[in-house]
Amino acid sequence: MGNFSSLQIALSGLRAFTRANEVVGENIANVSNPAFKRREIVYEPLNQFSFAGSGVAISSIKRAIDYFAEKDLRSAISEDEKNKYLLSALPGIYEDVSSLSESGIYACFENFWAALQDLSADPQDISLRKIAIERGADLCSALNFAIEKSDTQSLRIYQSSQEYVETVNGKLKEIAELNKKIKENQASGFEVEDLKDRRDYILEEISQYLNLDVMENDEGYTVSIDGKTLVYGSIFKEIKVENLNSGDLMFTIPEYNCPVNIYSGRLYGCKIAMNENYNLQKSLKAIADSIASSGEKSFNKIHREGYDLYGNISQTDFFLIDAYGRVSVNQALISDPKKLAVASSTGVSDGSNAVKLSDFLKGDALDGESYFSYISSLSASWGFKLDNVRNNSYSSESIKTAALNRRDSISGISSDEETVKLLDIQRSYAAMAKYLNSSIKMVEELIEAVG
Amino acid sequence: MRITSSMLSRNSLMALSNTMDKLYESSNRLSSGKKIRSPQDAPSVVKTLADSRQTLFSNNQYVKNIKFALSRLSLSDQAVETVYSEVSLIKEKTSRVAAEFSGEIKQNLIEEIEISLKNIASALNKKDKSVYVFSGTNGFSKTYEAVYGQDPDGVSRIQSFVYQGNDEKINVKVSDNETAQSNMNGREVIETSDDNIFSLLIELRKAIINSNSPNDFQDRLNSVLDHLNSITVGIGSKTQNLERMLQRIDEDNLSTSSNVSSIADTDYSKELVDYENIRNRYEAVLKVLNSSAKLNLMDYL
Repeated sequence: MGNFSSLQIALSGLRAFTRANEVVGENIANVSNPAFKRREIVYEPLNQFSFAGSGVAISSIKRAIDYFAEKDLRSAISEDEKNKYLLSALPGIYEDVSSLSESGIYACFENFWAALQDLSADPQDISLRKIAIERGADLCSALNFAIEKSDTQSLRIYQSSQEYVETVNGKLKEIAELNKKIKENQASGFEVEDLKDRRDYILEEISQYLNLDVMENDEGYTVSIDGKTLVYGSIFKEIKVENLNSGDLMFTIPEYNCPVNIYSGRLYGCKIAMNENYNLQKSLKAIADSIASSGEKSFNKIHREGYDLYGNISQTDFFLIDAYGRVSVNQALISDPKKLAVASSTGVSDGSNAVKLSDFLKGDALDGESYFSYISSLSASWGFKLDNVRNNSYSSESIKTAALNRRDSISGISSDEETVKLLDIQRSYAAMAKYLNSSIKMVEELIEAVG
Repeated sequence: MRITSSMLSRNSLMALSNTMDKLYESSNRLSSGKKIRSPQDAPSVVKTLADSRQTLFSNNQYVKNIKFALSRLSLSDQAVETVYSEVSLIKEKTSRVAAEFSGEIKQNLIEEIEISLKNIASALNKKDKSVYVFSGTNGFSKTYEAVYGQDPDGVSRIQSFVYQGNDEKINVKVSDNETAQSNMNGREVIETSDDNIFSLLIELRKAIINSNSPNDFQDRLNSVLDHLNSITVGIGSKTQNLERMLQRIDEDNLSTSSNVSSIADTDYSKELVDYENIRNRYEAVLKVLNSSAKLNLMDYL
């Protein structure tokens, strides 16, 4: 080995460690960047003088990534986001049917029952008649409000799902563009690591909304869901969401003209919330239909057969229901409370029909259950659902954290570790500098000796 | 496993957030006094709580109903007492008159009977909140309307009474399966099985006008007083039953409330200890977070 080749060795070391210093610096600078994957330096010996030990070079700078850990993380994020969405959407849907609430439908039924009881003792009292009618109207308002609220809720869920689908489509488009850019840059010999980081991070962001299947090939990432390809190379297909108005959301890929099943992420949360909301609305409508029914065994029938304060058989319904399913108290009774059929005979002090009406509310009016029992069952069932969602959310958050930790243990940056590396590199750089210095001195002395 | 900087901060923040959640829940339980505020807090007891709530709500209504029935019964009792004292007075005076039957005494007695008839009618025409209490369910009709005419001595006095009420009973619910009668109609007070207090007193007055001996009426007056006594006893027994019912409801409310309270209310001493523990844990997490954030080799160098 000649003196000039020792200079070459020293130079190659200085070059390699300078680059290594840059890479570690980049790692440290990106310690808080969630999209950044740690860069690992791979050194290789130089064999330029046809024997080993003739210098060092950086053969590659790799992204530290484990595709299984990435996949696990995406699936954990999807599950967690689904639960979080349900946790935020469901309480708003159920609060009106809580049997523990002081102002919900349950409380309205209680107040209406009590007003009828008061009236049964003092049936000729016009103010008590007005109170009973008002309590009936309060019940109607509470029912109408809850039904309308569930309509609004359904619209809100649908709008959320539309926003999410738009976001997903935007991100799918970005992945397709990144696939193209990465391919072009690779062909031109440019670095593509940052672009790949960006692409992986977009996939992670999408997993909040739905979990996609990802495969890597020459064209980049091929992204699919439910067996249908959404991104292939630079081509991407949009997803669309449709409200079926039967408590269900339908996701389709218009270009394929086929539905897709989504069982993860916020979009799945929307689908579940939509279904729950629809079922609750059905139960609320069942209460409204039952209370305003004119059938053989109904509140209205008891009222129709009762006597008003004029001593006439009422023949009017207490509750009415319109074509939109809105219940209300008969306007004839609001205008003239004396027409409220509280008696079972012509006697003005007879309140026995009010007792029958109040008994009906506590009887098996709805599917063999009283209104009170029906609402408290509904309330308990919602309680169980919310409790499940809350527990699921706790566990899915822990699973997500574990998956994030597992992924970060591979791709994440430890500032301490990078500092140690930095020290190592600095020492190696200093050693190389000394080596270079000695080599130069040797050459100088040689030249001097030769004259 | 490599421990990265983000893992350290994530784990610490997660511990901090979990402890904060627990601290928030505990402070909510302390400030509201309720450990169950919505069905999701304890779904398995929601139905029990709703049933208990309904029992308490219904019981409060039944207490109102019972108090209404008691007030009506008390009005009836007062009226029957008035009728009893008027009939007793006439009976006492009649027995005295029988011994000494002078013209002045006779005239006084005739007037006394007329006043008693009016007093009895007035007692039975008692109103409560614009309703005639003794008219059955015909509450807007005056219970007894006097019919005037001339007596054999040519003076216009009450000749009869027309009952304008009906015989319907007014029942109020005092529990889910029981009702109680809150009224007593005029006929029940005035008519015995074979007599009528008004007719008896009018006949007595006419007998005195015609100078017949009032002694013949003593047995009938006694039997009317017996009848009134039995009514008073009946009202007393109904009142007692209702008061017992009130007591039963009170006891039921007490046990239901304590049951609800044990399920849904915060046990303050336990919750305060829990709160203190969680607060200590929170402070410990903060300290760990603070010291782990400082553990950085770069800063050390």
